[in-house]
Amino acid sequence: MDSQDAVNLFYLLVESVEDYAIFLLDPAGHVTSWNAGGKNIHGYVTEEILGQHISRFYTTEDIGSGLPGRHLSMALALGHCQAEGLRVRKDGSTFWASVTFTALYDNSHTHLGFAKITRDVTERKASEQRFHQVIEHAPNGMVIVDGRGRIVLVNAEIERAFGYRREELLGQQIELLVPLRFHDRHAGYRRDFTAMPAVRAMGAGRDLYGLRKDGTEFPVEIGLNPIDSEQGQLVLGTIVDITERKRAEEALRKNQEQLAGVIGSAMDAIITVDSGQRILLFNVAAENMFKCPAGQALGQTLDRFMPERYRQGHSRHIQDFGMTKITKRSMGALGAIFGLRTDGEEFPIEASISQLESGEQKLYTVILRDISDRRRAEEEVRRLNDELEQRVVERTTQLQAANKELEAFSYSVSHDLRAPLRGIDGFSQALLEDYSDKLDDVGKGYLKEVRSASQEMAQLIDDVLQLARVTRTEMRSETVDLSGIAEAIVAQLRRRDPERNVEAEIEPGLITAGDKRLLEILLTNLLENAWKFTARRALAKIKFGREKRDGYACCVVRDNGAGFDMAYADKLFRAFQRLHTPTEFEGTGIGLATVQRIVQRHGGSAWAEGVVGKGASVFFTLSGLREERLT
Amino acid sequence: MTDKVILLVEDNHRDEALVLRAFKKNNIVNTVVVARDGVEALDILFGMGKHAGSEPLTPQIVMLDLKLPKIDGLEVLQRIRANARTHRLPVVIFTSSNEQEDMIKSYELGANSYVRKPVDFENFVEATRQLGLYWLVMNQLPPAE
Repeated sequence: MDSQDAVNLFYLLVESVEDYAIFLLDPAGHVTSWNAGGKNIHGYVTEEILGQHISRFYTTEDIGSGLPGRHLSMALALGHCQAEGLRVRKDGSTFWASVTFTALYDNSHTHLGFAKITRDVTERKASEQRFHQVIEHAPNGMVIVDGRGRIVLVNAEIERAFGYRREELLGQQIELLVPLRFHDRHAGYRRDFTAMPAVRAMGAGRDLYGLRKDGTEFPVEIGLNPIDSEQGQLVLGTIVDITERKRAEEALRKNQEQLAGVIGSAMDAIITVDSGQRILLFNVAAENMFKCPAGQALGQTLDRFMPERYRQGHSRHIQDFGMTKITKRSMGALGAIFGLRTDGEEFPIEASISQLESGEQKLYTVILRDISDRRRAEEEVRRLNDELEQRVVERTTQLQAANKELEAFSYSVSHDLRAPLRGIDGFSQALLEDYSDKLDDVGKGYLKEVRSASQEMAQLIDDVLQLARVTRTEMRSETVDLSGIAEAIVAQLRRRDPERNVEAEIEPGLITAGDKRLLEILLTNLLENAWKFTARRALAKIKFGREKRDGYACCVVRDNGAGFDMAYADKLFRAFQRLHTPTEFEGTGIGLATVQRIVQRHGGSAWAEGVVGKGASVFFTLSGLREERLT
Repeated sequence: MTDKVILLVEDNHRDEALVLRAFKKNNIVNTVVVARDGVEALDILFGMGKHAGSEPLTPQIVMLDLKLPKIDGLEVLQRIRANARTHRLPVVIFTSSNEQEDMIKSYELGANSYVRKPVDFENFVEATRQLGLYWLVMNQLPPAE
């Protein structure tokens, strides 16, 4: 094959290339040859395009900016020119083209024109764009650095994390993002990586930090990927801001420290065992409680810390507990449980157990409290109680004996003191009757005084006995109709003194819970008093009813009798205290003391109000008094 | 009425004198047998002890003090009620005591009446009069067994 044949073959080869538009331009840029690739890519057949200017392939904007001419000038100046950009097809559609212009000269260096090769790289461009988008929107910071450590690409996360704008980073050394103290080493590491590129994490165990534009640092984790590209070897760095993770780790660490601190300083022994009852945790309190250092306890079974008689039952209990879904419960609900110190001493404990699944393992944690002290204290309390009870029994016995004595005394007083009085009175009367002719009036008067004195004394004895009786008598509570009792007493008084003109007003329906006999004595004393002290009134007025004082219901017995001076009000309720002489009003001065005692025994109190010459009111409260009528 | 004997059980000689005086003032002329303690009262009633060999006394009424030497009134009452011949005998407790306990026990043991001796002699005479009137005149005893 001669050289012409070779040239012809070459032309045929070029013409048949389908993936590349390969054609010639004259020095002014007019198409002078065409091939199958040109038709495929641009859509023109040879006849249509020969003689056309290359600007036909450019977009209107590029033509406007004079790009076609610039490309030719550059190719002319530099020998060739490469470009990428949008180009237009015959049908007006565009595609992304990669273009090479090469200036052509003959042997005498006369410029013949240009060879132009165009490739449709739309797909590559799209995939590049996708790649860029992926990188741009990646949640992690991504930076591409060239072989000399210059930043070629950063994504949005890098901007955000480091606080730079993209333009401030591109073309800068990567060390801009590295704290100053690491710069020396960093350059070395970079060289090492370039020498032996491999996908790996950076730092290998060291803590890595990023440097923000504002000078602050933050912890990062960096992955390195070597990338081979047209621009030589690049490195893709993936940078994760791990501030939050560090913070969480720190919090967790602190938490664990605190937990360890809590467990260590707990007053209660805390022991964790696995399902085989081997001890995994043994805190300080446990060491003290069982007198066993943790080092000797860990790995051992719990058995050695409990008395032998409990061991078998205990492991069964734990197994049973493990079967339940209950997370915690107290132990020893059925009776006291005991621990065993290494020195052999048994001691009572209070325990609770909890279970948790940790990974594959089931862990049981028992919390134990040595309750020896409490037991001792309880024992002491029980002993003191017993003692106290014993003492109470003794005292009660003594008191009962004293009461018995008092009763016997009262009895003999009532019986034996009255008998002589009866003699005095009886024989005085006998004298008056049988020897009246031998006595003058003065003598008879004396005997009458003897009689009245003995009768007075008899009354006094009765009153004192009643006072004693209301104090010691056993209370029996029942529903008592105070109004009914008052009516009966007044009726009796009217029968006794039919000549008296007394207007008695008794409020009906006063009901209380109390001892009927004592309440009868109470009302008898009060109404008899009222009756007695109104003796000199032409029209005596006695009232028994209910009133409200200081918000409380109380009963009152009012009269319009002699009254009393309020200055002596506090003396009224004391035994033997009298505000009247016997010649004014008879009496022993014990009635109101008796009233007071009865009221007190019914959980109430008694007080009196009076005005001399106008009347008196005696008030009393009873805890059992029904109040419904007052509300 | 002379066949109706009164048994007065009374240790206090003054009270005895006053009772007798009161009977007299009230024209109660029945025979009064006096026992000065509980043992003597029982001996008289049952023909025992110092009264062994005597016919047991069946009085119209027993006036019984409670506080007595040797055997007290309540026990005397109990023995009277426990005996077939005397268990329906009218017994009036005539005492200084107005203790509720005494009254309750007396009635529980079958006393027919309980009268407290008044200190005032006029009241004392009145009480005696009413007792005599009721128990010696008005009251009908069951037929002797």
